[in-house]
Amino acid sequence: MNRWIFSLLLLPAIAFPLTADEIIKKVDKNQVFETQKASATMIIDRDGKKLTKKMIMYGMKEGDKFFVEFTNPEDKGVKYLKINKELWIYFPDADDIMKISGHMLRQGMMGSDISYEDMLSDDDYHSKYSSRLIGETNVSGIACYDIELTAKVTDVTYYKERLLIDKEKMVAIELDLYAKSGRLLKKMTQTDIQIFNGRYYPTRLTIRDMKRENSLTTVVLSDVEFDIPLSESIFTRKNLKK
Amino acid sequence: MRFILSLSILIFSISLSFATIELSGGIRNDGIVLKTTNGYSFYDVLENKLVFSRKTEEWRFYADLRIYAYYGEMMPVDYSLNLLRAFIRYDSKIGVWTVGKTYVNFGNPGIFNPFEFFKNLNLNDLSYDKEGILAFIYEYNLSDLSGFKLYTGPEGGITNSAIGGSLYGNWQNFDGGIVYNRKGFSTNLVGVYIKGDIEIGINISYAYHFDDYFENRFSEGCAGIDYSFFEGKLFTALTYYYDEKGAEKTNDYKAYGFEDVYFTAKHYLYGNILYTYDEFLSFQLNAFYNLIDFSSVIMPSVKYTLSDGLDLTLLFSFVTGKDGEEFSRDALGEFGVLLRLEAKL
Repeated sequence: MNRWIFSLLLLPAIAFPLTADEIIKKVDKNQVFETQKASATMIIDRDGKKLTKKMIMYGMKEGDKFFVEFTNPEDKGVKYLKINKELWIYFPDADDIMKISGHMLRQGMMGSDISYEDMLSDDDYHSKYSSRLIGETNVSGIACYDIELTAKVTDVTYYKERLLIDKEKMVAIELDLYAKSGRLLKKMTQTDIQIFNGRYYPTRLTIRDMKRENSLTTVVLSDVEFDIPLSESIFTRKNLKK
Repeated sequence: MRFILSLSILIFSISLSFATIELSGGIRNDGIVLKTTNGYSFYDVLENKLVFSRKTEEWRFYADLRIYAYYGEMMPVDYSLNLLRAFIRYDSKIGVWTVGKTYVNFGNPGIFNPFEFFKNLNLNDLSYDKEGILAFIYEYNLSDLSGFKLYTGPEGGITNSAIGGSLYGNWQNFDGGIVYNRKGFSTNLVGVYIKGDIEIGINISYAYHFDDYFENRFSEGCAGIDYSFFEGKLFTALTYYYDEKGAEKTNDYKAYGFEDVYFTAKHYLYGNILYTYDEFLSFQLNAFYNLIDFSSVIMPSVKYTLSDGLDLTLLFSFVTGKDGEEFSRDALGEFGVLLRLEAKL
């Protein structure tokens, strides 16, 4: 009898470990937002030479909208508006708006290792990838799930991703991003995880483009706010020229 | 001239101390060596760019003053001054109002745009900022990506004044619009433009020019495609330009010279290849091909970022045309080399 009771108590832990799908949904819950506002500093490091870009970013999930305004002296006043797969750039010197072709979204943003698609996207994993739990591992003392994602739709930037997910915070702390050919394209780390309105979110991202040697881009987020009221008028052509 | 320069700088400096105006801009030096049939010549252009701006939630002020210093026997003056922009933009509930010296633009920005006011190109810098005109612009947005724009540019009497407008929008990954523009006395155009992509980028512009009596009429247009490879590292673009009024015979148009002038033949092809090796180093090739006399100008360049806001550019230019053709050695020299050092402040 006692053995039965003991077994029943252990049942949730033994019989119902999280599936890959459930883990990914929890990760999505942390990283997908309705609205977002943040300041970001992007440091592009190549062979020890550094460039620094600063920007204010706004995001809105509905309509997949992003608005970015650069604030560093060299690019001050340059603004990006991204709606779905379309991108417009405002150049203050010319006082003109230019529509950028969709294929350019794969390009590194301001010459960095982070593409426009990487930076200006809040896609959830669950709807676009099928997931497989490879196992569990430990990264610098942090217990992690090892998950492999494979694209189930065509409009994704990376066909395959391998994530090491912090088991406690449910945030991917290491990401390997692959092409369909199986080639490793980028390695990404997400650290300095903080709590915002009950969600864990990394505030320091590093991306290494594996096709380049000694190249690293770091993005540090500050003044991060999620799910705050944001006016629709931010994500308009009119706001680019304002 | 020096007195005017000093006075302008003084006025701006004083205004800075009385208002919350931000000062930014840049400085760039172009050193140019030209191999002509008579030997080598050297000249230098130093450009100081001073941008004064103030921005609030509802309005902004923006002024862009360029001060140039020249050196070299080919230079007609030692100094010059150009106020490229100086405008106030007010964002009200019933539209956006802009008044002052401002860039009045319609259509797709680019090398060949039939709707540009000033079509002149600077071959040393194809993306050089276009000069504004004194105008009053009203713009109203009908949705996030659509709206209409009306403008007028006064010029000695109503019939000589410029007036025009555009209705624009976005549909299925394409921006597009219709334009009417009366640039001045008896100089009208109507036209359409689109820009978007179906895997490859596509842009098409068409303008129909006519005078007030509908006697002098002609078409002008361009069509271009672009695509990038290796995750955007290699960008390629090709544009065809047509001007019905353009010259069909070599003798009918002036050979391209040093002044910023717009191309005058009937058909052109423009190609652009940009390879971004990394965030510090990029290579570019620009080429114009005259489809009437088959002369061309080819301009390879390399740009290196020395530090945040400090760039070094080396540009070469070669021409293939014979004497009398548009891009010929007698007009542009056998080849040219430009070294540009540019700092953004």
